[in-house]
Amino acid sequence: MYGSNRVAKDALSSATSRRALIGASGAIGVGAALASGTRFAAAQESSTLTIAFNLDPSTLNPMTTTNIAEESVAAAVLEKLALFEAETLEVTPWLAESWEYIEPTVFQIKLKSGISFTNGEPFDATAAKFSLEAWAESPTMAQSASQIAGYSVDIVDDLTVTITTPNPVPTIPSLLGRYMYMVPPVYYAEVGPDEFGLAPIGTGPFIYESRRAAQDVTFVKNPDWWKGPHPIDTVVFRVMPEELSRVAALEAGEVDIAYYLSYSLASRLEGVDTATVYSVDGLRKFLSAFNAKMEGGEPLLDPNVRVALNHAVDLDGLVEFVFEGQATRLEGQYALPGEFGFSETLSSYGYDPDLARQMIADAGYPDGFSLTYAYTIGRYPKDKEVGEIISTYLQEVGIKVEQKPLEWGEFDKQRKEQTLGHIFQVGLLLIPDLNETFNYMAYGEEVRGGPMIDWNDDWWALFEESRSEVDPDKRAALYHQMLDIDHAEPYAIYLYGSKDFHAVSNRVQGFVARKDQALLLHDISLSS
Amino acid sequence: MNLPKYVLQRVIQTIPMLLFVLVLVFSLTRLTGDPASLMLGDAATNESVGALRDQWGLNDPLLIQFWDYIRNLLTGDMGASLRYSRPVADLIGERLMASMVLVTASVIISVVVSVPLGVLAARRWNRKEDTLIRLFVVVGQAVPRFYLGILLMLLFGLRLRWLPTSGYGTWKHLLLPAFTLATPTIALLTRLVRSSMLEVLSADYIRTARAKGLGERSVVYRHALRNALMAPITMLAIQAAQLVGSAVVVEQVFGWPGLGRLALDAIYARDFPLIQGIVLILCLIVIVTNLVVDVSYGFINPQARAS
Repeated sequence: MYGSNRVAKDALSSATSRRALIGASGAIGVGAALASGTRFAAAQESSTLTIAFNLDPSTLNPMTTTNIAEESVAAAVLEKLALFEAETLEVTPWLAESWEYIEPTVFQIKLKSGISFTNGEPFDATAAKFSLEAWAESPTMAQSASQIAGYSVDIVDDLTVTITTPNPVPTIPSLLGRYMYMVPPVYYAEVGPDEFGLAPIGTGPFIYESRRAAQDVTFVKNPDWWKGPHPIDTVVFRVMPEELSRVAALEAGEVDIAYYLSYSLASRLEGVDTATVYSVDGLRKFLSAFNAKMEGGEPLLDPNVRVALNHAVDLDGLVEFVFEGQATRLEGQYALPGEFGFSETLSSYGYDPDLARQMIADAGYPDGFSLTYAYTIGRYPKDKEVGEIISTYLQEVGIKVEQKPLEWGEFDKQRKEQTLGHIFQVGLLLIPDLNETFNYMAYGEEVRGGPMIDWNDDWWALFEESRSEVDPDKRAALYHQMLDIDHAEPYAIYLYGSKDFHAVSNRVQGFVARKDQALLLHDISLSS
Repeated sequence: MNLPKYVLQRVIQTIPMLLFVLVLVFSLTRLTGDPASLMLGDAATNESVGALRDQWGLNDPLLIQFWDYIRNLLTGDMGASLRYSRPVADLIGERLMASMVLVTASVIISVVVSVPLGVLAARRWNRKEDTLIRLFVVVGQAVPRFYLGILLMLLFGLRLRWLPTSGYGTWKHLLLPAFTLATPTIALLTRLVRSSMLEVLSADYIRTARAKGLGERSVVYRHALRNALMAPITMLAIQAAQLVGSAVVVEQVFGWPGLGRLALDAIYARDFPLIQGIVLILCLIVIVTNLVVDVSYGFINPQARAS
């Protein structure tokens, strides 16, 4: 189900042969002539962890960003009430001691005691209430916070708060695991969200020290961390947007972790004995969503046509040849293995172009039909290649496809205007709970300006029921029924889930590649 | 026309040009993409996107947005970045120095390398040295900076370990990106210096100078080179301005914290105020560079000053 593997490495000789040296120097002689004659001292200080990171965070306030990478930097300082377990994705308490639904509409959270923010403010019910409200009121969080619309947070005692909602909200634990960082109320109120994002204060293992724009963010050890002082003194997140640069820096020993790589570059490190590549099944799932309500999309109103188009695509071929096997096939459903609601009984439709052609003919389109297929360029790994290949698969079963490759900003704009295409690529990275995915799909009129397909009435009834079912087993059972319906009347061509790759120096101990893409430093240490 | 008057006239001429560029950028950036939607992610509702657009003033009519922008600009306020929630001037200020360091180093390297190479090629016309230099020119102009940067990084950073693979802060960090950025310019200028020198070296006054018994060094460097540099200097000015734009790729490869990367991020996020601010600054750089070159003509060639 979950695959975090360490890839063994062969030795890379650091010595350069005379022949290679002469050849290379000849090719780029001017540079070599001017370069220093001494070997660059790249060794890291033994107590400093340097992470080559893929972006320059726009803020260190996780209340104002939904970008998991930006959150990962802030998470050196700030902590949440709960975490997703790295492998099982089960939500487990972190700053919270425990929680329970004391009534279907009342969610009670008990907090750990004896914890303070690094500015001396206590972490207690007042801080938790302030943080929960700050999260829910943040414009950036409006979409997720809408799940608890009409909420109130009440202090029961110093270490207990309740979240009361007008209707039962079964996903509050997932929201705790994904969002809801705890902030010091006095400082946060004093400086405001933007200033807080420049110099955050939290309860976490590190304290924010400095930032150099587009270069790095530095944190130092919090000596009073509630779990005991962290073994690493200093953590530096170095901004390195180009992934080849991250890999080269790791190989050269300039950084300890090269975060977020593609398989093609991560595999470059397979011969290096000083580093280990970690791979993990990620949570981003890729679909080709149908938009039957766009002009010319009438054939897609027929569920059999939508099933036929799923048969038209060779998923195994796509995974094998485009991603070199480094992606996870979706099993005829939106959910990835491990995600809450995943159905073990469903499987992929199977590649059968003859059956697809027959089903399209039986639906009244013996000569096929025309549609527009939109996909992004450069937004996701190999998105252009996937778009082109799927278009080809569809053409093979008689569909005349007009391809529409777009830059992400324009893609997003057209999607909201509902002018994007009859089928378009989607790469969803949501909370690993099908509730969020179903919300995304069912309320497509909000996201994309109009309903995408005709929804099955039974599906709607089950969806409404699931939204107020706080018993996890019953909710999962409802999701399975919904997935069954959707398998027969698909919303999309179900494609694949991505895999994430990180390369880590062998002096780093305790690194865990997490499915949710977060980088948590809690258990990391450095060997001497 | 005296120099101060000439400079003042050129400065005044830039105002309508800047205004035109601002109108263009203001309009074009708003044709595609919605920053609020991009920031809020895949599942954002129209309501939440609308609320954020309200907060940023993006729901006001375009004319009002533009008028507000110009009004604030006249008071020195370039607005606040949507993505970073910080003043645009601060963000640009943080990055401008890094860009200027990179571009200046590249220009210096370009001049220092290309002029001797061009002169050597001209003096050794059709011989082995000339052939080798012409080969370098072709390769230097043909290899994309992105690819060259990666090659240099892998060679000097990874294989030889002479220089850091990326980063910012010391002269060692500067060498690889500056050479990467400079290489096509070196190639271009070398070709220009070579052809200009070949033309000048065959001129009558050079033959006269030689006939007068002047030394070869004096003929080449005092008489021929000064006259041969007009075209390369013009090209250098154009190149210097282009280098700021070309630096985007180099900054990306080497993690150099310059304006180019900031511009790229701003475009992807549709951070309108930041894009406008960067374009404004880049325009000013181009204008000032051209002005400096125009003025420098006069120093190099008195005839140009007289005209």
